[in-house]
Amino acid sequence: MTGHRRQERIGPLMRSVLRGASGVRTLAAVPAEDCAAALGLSGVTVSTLASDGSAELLWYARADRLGIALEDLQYTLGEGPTPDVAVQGRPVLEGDIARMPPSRWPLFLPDALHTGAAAVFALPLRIGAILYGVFTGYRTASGPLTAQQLRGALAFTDLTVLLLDHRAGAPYLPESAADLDTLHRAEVHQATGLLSARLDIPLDHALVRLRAYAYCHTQPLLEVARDVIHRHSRLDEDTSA
Amino acid sequence: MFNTEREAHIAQAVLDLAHRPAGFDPLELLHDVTAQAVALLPVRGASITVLDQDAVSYVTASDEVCRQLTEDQIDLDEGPCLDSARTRQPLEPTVLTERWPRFAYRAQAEGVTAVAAVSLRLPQMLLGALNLFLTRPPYLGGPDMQLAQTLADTTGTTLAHRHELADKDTVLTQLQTALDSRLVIEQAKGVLAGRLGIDMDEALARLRATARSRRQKLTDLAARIACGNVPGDLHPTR
Repeated sequence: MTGHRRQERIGPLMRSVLRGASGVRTLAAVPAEDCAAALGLSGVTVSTLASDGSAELLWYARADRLGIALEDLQYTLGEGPTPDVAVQGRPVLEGDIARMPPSRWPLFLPDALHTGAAAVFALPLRIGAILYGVFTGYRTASGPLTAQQLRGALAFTDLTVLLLDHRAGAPYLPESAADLDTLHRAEVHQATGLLSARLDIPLDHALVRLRAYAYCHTQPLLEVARDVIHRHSRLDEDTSA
Repeated sequence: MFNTEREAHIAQAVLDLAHRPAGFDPLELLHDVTAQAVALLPVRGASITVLDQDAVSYVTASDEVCRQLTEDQIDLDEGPCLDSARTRQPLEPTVLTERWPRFAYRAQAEGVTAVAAVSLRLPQMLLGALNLFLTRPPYLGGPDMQLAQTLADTTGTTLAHRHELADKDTVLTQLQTALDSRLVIEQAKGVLAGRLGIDMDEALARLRATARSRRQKLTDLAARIACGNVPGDLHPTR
């Protein structure tokens, strides 16, 4: 959703996590324990999608034994919230896994309960049809996320997407709050689609090009997108990689 | 018996907004109500915004100009739709004046001279607004505003049924995650515009028409197209 006020509804802790991430170039520079604390969670992890579609653990807190154990379990068993989101691209929000039907994750659930996990929440790291990975949170106490916590988690997934996109070649734009808002503007995604069709490249490459162009020409991303839509940009004439 | 063709259209529109399959896409419903408003009322276009505490968020619009004019108000932090959302009051047709200097300038450049809004309500809460963009007098009269409110109320009731057991927070958060699918539609519009050499409005019209005729979810079709898989029957017929 758009709006500069998006940042105001995520709570002071998550705001400070996002502020702290301003200017960082990799997710590794963002402390996972701070993110977990801001969301009232015991642990949070980020997994990226391998070329075969499986989720591989990328980011976690070193001391987060629970998160690491749960991700290992899911990787081994091939089921659980992270693999579900990796395949379906839709959020999985389970505030009380002890009360879930055992058939949902027949192998994962008993093992997960054994580790002490009571609630699992997984959100897709995606921009429209581009799926980069999965953000997963765990809690040893049961109960749903509050609206503010879910908003905070969604804002954090936006930041993560920008950083993962950076990994794929896009420059990270340092003013994260403004960036996170721009990421929700329709024109950016229309222009991504346009470039992808005109240059016959995948969406994620098209978005990287848009962001790289904006960065190199110190032009706001939204302006670059509008130029592409109105054919004022030479961005799509440049076929060099 | 209907007295006029318009009455039949109105009944059809209300039925269309009320009759949705289980698990329907809330974004599609909200887009449809903007389209119905344009079809049935003397308006240039319509948009939906939602209100979360005091933050107004853009959701969808009947066309690109109205999307832009709605997002402009949020960006500029000025405009009648914002005022009406924040005071939680419907907005009778209001001529754009110096009260909103920057927004009025942008709106007038698109031929929009007045704005109106009706509330989008769930049973226990105000969810947002259906905003209407007007080009010339006579602006919407009482019966027109009533009809706009009826369309919005029907939409609210349909949404409420989808979230029957949910509290206010859950409705908002569920809606929020569903609305993230909006980006897929924008990407698909871009791909179609690039492939077929059409503008964004035409791209959305074709997306909707194709999704309807195939009884497919708009976001599912959009996801397919965004990944480069454009169905043959979307291409222009020659």
